[in-house]
Amino acid sequence: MKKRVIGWVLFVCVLAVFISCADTRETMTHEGKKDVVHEPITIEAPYRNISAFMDLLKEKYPEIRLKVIPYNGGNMSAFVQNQLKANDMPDIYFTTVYMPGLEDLSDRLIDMSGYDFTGNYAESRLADVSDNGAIYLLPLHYTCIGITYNKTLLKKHGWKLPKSFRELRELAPKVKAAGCQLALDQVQYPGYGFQYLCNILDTTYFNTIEGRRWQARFLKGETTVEDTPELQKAFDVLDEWREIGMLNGSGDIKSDSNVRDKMAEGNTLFMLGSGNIFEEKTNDTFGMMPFLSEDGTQNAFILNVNRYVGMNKHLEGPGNEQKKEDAIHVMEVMSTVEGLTALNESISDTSMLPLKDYTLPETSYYKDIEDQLNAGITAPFIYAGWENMIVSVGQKMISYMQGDCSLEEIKKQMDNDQALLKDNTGVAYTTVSEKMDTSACARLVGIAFAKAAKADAALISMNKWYPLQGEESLNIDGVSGVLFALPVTDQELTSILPTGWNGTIQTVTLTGKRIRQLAESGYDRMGDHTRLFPYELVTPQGAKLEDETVYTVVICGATEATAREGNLKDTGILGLDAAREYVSQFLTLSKKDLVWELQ
Amino acid sequence: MKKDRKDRAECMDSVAQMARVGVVFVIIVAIGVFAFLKYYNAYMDKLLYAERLKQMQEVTGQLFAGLQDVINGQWEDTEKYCNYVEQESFSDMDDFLAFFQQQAKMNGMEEQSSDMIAVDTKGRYYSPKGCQGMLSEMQYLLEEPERVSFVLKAMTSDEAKMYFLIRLEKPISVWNGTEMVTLQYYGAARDMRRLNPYFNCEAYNGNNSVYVINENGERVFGSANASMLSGYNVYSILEGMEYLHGSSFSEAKKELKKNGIVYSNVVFHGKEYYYSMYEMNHADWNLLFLVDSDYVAVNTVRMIHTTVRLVLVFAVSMVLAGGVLIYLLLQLKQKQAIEVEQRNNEVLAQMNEKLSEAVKTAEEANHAKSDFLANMSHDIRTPMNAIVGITTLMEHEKGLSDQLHNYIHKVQLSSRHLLGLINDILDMSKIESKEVKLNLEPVCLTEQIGQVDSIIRSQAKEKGQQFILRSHEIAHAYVTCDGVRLRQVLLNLLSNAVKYTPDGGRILFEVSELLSGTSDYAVYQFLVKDNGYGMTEDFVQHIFEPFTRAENSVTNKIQGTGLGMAITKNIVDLMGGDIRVESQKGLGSRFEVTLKLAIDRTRENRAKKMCETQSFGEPEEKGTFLQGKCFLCAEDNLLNAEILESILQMYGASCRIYHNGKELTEAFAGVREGQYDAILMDVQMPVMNGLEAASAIRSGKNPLGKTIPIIAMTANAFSEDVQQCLEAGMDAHLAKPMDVSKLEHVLRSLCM
Repeated sequence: MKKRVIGWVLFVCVLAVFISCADTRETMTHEGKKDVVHEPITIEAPYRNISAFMDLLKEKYPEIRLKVIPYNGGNMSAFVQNQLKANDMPDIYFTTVYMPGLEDLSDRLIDMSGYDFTGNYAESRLADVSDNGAIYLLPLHYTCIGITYNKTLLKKHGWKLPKSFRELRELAPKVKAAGCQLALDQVQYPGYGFQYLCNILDTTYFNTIEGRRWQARFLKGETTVEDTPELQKAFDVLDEWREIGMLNGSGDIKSDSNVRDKMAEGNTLFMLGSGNIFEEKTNDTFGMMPFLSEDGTQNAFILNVNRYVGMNKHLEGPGNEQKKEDAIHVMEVMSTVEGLTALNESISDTSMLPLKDYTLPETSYYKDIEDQLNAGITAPFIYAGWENMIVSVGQKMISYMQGDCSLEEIKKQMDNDQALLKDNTGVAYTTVSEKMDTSACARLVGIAFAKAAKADAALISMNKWYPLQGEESLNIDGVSGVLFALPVTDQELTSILPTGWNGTIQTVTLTGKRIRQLAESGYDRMGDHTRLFPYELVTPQGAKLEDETVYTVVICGATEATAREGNLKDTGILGLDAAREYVSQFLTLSKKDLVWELQ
Repeated sequence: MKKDRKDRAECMDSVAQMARVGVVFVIIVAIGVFAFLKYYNAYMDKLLYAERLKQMQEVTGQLFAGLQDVINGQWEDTEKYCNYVEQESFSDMDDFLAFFQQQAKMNGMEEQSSDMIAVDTKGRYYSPKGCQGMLSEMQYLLEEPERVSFVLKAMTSDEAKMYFLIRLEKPISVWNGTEMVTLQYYGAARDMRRLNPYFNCEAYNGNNSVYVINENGERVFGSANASMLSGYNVYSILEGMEYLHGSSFSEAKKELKKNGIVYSNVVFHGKEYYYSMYEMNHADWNLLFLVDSDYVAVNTVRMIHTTVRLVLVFAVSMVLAGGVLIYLLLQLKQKQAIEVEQRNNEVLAQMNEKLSEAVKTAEEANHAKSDFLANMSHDIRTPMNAIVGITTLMEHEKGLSDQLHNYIHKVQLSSRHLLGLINDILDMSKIESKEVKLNLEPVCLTEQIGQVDSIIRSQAKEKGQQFILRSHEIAHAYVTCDGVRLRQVLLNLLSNAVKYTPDGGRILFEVSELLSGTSDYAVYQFLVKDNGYGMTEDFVQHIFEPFTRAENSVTNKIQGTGLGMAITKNIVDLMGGDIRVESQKGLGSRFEVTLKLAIDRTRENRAKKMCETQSFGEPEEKGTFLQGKCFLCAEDNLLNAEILESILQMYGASCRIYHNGKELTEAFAGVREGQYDAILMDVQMPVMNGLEAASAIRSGKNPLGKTIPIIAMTANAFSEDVQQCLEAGMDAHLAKPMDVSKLEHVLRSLCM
């Protein structure tokens, strides 16, 4: 017995000695995989088919679940920015606009600068989004904005691509003389007007050292256009652009696709705007030219970060450890060429990735201008910080292009709207007092549209997430997004309106029974009878529709069959106007206010 | 023997003591080693840390100095380019570009994959080939710094360039054909691939990373093997590390700001690293040098680790050796203890053997003593039987003078006294040798009391004493106990009462059944009270000790062995009972015996009636019962046979005596019913003893053998003798010498 005790004591002592000498710092830190079901990570998919990315993630981390929040509305930038304003973002947050340092995001987004996955990004690209060293939003992919030109047409006529505005000026009459149109301008969105203004001014003033200083001071309210003679002078170049026909009234405010279709016809040399893919409609080939300066020394492609991504700060909250770990894994997968390509599958040829090991594919739309891009012939996209004057100044610019407005008016508009950059509540129609979900927004749209169109009811389709294939897209004909508890301006309205900025209200004539059937079945946009988008049926005070009675119904989201059956009519009434009129009657707006009272 | 035991105990104590000391020693040594190693470890850690820092300082000092030289060199070159260009004057842009080309060529820019750079006030940048467009990183120039350096990576390729630009004190204005261009910054753009080797350090075989970071910790550039830290912001990563030696990231930053360089020992992702940060001159950059601790001062670490291992091995060896030594010592001590124990065991075995022999001898002696006692008892009783018998016969002879009657009476008294003495001495002797065993048998209490009463009443009558017997509610008359011993107890008490009560005195014998609390046992109280001489208080305390008698002028005249009460006490104790005495000198004594006896329910009902019919207190008519009775007797001693026959005849009875059991058995085979009233059987006889004869009769062919009373009349008077008789089938036992009254009493009980 005693021998045993002594033996044990010896053993314990020797063990203690060994343990004491062990390096306790190098202890195993790995944890076993937990077999619990992970809480889903919410992620946005605004105008993106992220099915391929989800498959990739599933392959690498089968335990991680993603819950997709779709958005296919008319003003994504406003929607995602409002998410940030209301601090109501999903776990993985996407946005289109960001200017580091303009706003403190440390209370809403995680600083990712120390995470390993940021090492995959080129330092120069991250420097652009660094907020004093913190990275709240990572650039996902870049698009380059320039002037689209028809290579085939150029070659056909033996013209040389101009390298300066001077050369362009010389080319313009030749083009016209050849019976071709010099340029088409997309103007569906007011933002285009603002964009053209800035892009052209980049070649003279904005993208100079002085011009960049001026922008910073103007945003702070420290200077105006009127106070800056150099800028006033620089504006003159716009007249020249209009004069030679680069800026004109050829655009269609209802649809940019009409402009693209016209471009695809092959008789126009240049096009301003986006949406450069014409392969399906023409055999012509197209290229991109920078915005040209007089002598070509200040030419600029506009480099735009199309998407930024961040991680919601609430992931760092107690109880969210697993979610945060999962979200980091999502970011890890996303921060690879494979991940970003999967995320942006449909635009991989028209975008560039900010990753170190990214090389431009041969099929890239930017292959022709790669050298220029690498040489840094770029100017930053002017948007962030300017949001509250983009519509007004953009509309003025479009008016100017159409010959309805002078340069002075644009300048004045800029100076007049300068105050809005910091506070736009003055132009708000109402203020939402409590977040309104998609269904409530659809109801709002239904009442507003039906009242304006004097219809009996409204069928407003809503967006919903389905895995997509190829070129499929979710519901762009209905209501997407929500209204947050914020002031409501055109930006907020267009973010939920199916008609966007310039769309008009449409109606069908159907029996009550048929309307109810549609409301119950949903909008079969893809025609496969499986991926249906729900309708919000709105009637005055919720009145039941009689089966056999024929009603005029406002419809947002009608299949061709429904359009034929209901004799679809365009009322010509701007949806945005209808919404403005409806919401303006409320000082504050909430779901309970959405009552369609009988007249 | 005692000495051996003591030695052994001492030896075992010594082993235990050694074991305790050993355990304490091992614990102390282990704690000592533990503490030493802890201290040694801490000391070595500190030493190692200092050594590693020293080596880091040497290595990184060279690296940083080299890098600083490279950067300084770049700046010096840039300053030189600026000086040259500032001294020149240019007629137009072409003139400038010609100079620019010349300068680039002279400085071998092409060979170095570098370029001369000039930036105008608008932000356009120029190479010797002309204007290249807008400088995309023009934000670095917005604040018009005197000098600026930055790294720019191409949009879609690996190409990265480090720019070194100095603001010209005298901006150069040249006409480019359309406007006056003012060149404000001048310098060079270096291909980072050319600078990369400077950032790599071979001191650690490439197991280190070098990062160029800006004031916010952002990575401006990383060396080719900069893979240890993946994140973009190095400060964010460093901040999340675990700092050793009581340091922290904020302290490291403070030290960097203060001294321009800092060293830290950190743990990151479970791995230990050393890093050094260096603030570069003429640039808003810091250099971070990070290396896996495994590669810092490898030889020193190896040497220290080897030393630590050796010390550890030595320490463990010492502990183990100590442990083994203690173990061996304990083993030795234990072996000695075992040897002592073995010796003691041998001695003990010898002693046990001797003791066994002694016990055997004692047992044999005891057996011999028992035999001797039995033989002596028999041998004394046999002649005593003759003496008593003859004196009884003589007493009944007619024509004897009074004087002769008187002599005969005295002989009788002396004989009885002698018999009493023999009985008491033999009893006490057996009690002391623990040979007395209770002979449990069914007993009728009323019968027992009746027998006692008949004996005592006659004795009391002789002394003119009043003897009163009271029986109170004897609910259970039949019990299982040693009837002989019970009678002995009661007779001893009552005989003493008669003896020690003067003539005409009063003796009370009271029997009561008390509440027992159980259904299987009954508790009886026997009270003997007299108004005799009584005892002193001192004597009462010793009354149950052997050979104790009250000494006074009166009682000294009374004959006795002084063993009666000792025997009584021993028997009561043996029966599990209790005896108490109260006495007062001159007033009398009171003895109380309490016995708890098992109730014999099977016989209770059967014999109840018989017991009930017997009344206490009625004296039996002496000598009348034997009248006309005829006995078949076995007696080998001719004298005793003659006396027996004479006495029986004297009481009107007749007998036929055989001289051994065999003869009697054979004779009994022909006996007819009514021919004999009972058989009086001696036990110790030649040919066939009485026990064998009784068994033969009981199992014999003559059916009368089953019922005829057989009474042992023997000199074998011990209780086991009584038991043997009863077991052999006899109905009663009468010890010699023959007492006619007892014979009458037994016959009455058996024949009625």
